[in-house]
Amino acid sequence: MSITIKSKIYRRGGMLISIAILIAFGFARIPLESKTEEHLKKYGFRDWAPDISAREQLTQASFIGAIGGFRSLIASVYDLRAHEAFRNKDWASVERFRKITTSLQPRFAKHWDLAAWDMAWNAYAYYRSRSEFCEDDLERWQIERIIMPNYLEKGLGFAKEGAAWTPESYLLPMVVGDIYSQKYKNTKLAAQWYFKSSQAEDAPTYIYRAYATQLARCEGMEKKAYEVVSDLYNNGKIRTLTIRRDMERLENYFIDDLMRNNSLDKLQRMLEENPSDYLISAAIGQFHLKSDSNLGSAVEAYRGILKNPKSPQFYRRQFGFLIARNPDNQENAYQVLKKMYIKAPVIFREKDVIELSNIENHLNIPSNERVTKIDRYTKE
Amino acid sequence: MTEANEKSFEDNLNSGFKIFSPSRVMAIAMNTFTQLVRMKVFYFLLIFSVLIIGANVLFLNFTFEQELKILQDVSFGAMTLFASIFSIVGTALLIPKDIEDRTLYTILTKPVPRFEYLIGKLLGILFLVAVSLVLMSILFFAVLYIRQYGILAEETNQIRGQPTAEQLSSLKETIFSQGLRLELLNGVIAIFLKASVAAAIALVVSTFASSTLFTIIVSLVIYFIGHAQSMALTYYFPEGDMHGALQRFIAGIVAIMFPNLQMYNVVDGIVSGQSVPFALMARLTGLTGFYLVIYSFVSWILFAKKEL
Repeated sequence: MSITIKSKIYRRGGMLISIAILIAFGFARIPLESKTEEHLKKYGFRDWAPDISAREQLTQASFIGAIGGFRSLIASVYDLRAHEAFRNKDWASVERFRKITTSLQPRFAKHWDLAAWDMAWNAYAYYRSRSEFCEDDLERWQIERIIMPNYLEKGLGFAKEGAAWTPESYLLPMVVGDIYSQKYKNTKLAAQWYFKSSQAEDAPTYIYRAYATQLARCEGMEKKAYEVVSDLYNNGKIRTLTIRRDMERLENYFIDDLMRNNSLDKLQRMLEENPSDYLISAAIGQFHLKSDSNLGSAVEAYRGILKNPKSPQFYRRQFGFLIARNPDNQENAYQVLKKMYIKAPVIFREKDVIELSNIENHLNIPSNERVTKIDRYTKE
Repeated sequence: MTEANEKSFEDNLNSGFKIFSPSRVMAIAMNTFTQLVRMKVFYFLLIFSVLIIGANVLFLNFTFEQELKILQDVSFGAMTLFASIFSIVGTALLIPKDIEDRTLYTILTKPVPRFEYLIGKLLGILFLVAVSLVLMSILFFAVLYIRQYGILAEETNQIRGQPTAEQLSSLKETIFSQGLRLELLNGVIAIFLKASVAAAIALVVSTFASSTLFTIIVSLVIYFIGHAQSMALTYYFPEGDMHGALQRFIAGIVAIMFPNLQMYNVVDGIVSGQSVPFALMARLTGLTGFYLVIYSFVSWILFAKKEL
């Protein structure tokens, strides 16, 4: 009897010692764990809190899975559900599921990107197409004035929040830039966001070009735009058509500006002071063309531009058209322009093609020998 | 036999005996590993293969980021699940099975201290979990490696005309940054560390449990509470607002008594593209070691006093 009691006490003593050890261990490890939690927070591993709002968003099983170490997997499951809802054009569900995926894994940039894409592009396009076929005026008004702007706002909201969560990535600021440029047509804000995106370490080079393009369209920011665009034109790895066009447009702006604000004498004095500034030569040329219709002087001014090694290629095309204005030189000018057009037709703007086509008409070039081949541009 | 002879006989017996012998522990560990392998546990690899190949094949019409993420999520999810099940169920089965097979009596009648037996069993389980994780990782990395090159080929084909070197390198960088990378190894290690703690918990429970089922259920409950422990810790050390005294007391008990398994959930971040610094991995490893030592010690206290 006494042996049994002793044995029970002995065993319970072991249990009590064990509990005491576990409690002591608990007190010892809590500061260590708190420190580790701080480290995890610092390195961004505590971006999701299993709180009441998370519980309300998720089903019970998903919530348990999320706190049980399967958060990323649960986010993927909701991603698939969002995709399914997208296929069914159930935009409310798409929004709900996208909110869940982004809140479960806010540092995964693609979740935000897809959420913004679904709202600002897919849902927006769906309702735009619905409004086109809508016969009820009130419904169309609602779609165009309330629903479509609402989805655009939601897409923008996702993209901006995602940009705040993933500051190291170029993706979300680029998406915000895309929304401002393509949907809101707000070039200033688009330029700001593209610039932000281009500063990220992983940013592809085309984003800086997109920034330049948007900046080139901002009214009142031509000087800054010219700095950026001319730098890309002269020093960039790829000289895209957009960069060429922007460069030409901006230079034309400054040439017009010089012409408007200065007399011919002043321009000539300025050229004497800065002989390498081909923009002044171009302004003098334009002055001669527009004010005193002195083609010879204009051609001389443009010759000066072509001698300048810094002048962009498109002045050769402009020079060709200038020469072609003189009927005596038209044939020769046409041959030069024809070569240019065959070599790189994309550098000819729409109005250049029309002008080239007019020269072909004027020279009675047979239709099978014409380079433009665009009848709609031809003018009798 | 005289008293002097008896003493010299005992001295002779004890002369070669060491209080702790790593070779004895390793012998038990290897025996445990063999015992578990004979239970045909590695058949799970078939299920794992089907899972990751399925994840690889089923989601082909998604963006490549989604595709790679789903593959990683499914693989890491399955690895976590299998590792946790192995560690809890495997440990829960060991002592009752040894008692049932009478192996335990054969071992303990030899000069094998009980803590060596327990440590050997725990190491055997951890070895099994490690081997299974290595096998799963090899499969997972192989599929991921093949898939990322498949995606690169598909994306290259979608570029109009001949892709430039800049385009190719940018595409490669984007795809590979979300494909097979060294950082994934940290995820596997974190899974192993969590499974180790789960095994140690199951070992403690199995030393006083009356049945295998009890051990499994109690260990699973602790495993689950362990994941919510960080919430209790937040309650215990509130930031800003104060909680009620009772709430804090309960939270304090939970925080003190249960392990914090949420610490090991770094896989979600790794899949998102975050990197785990070496200092953090070292800290997690150190804490796991701390857990293993204390839980093994508690298991020994309970097991030493257990009547067999």
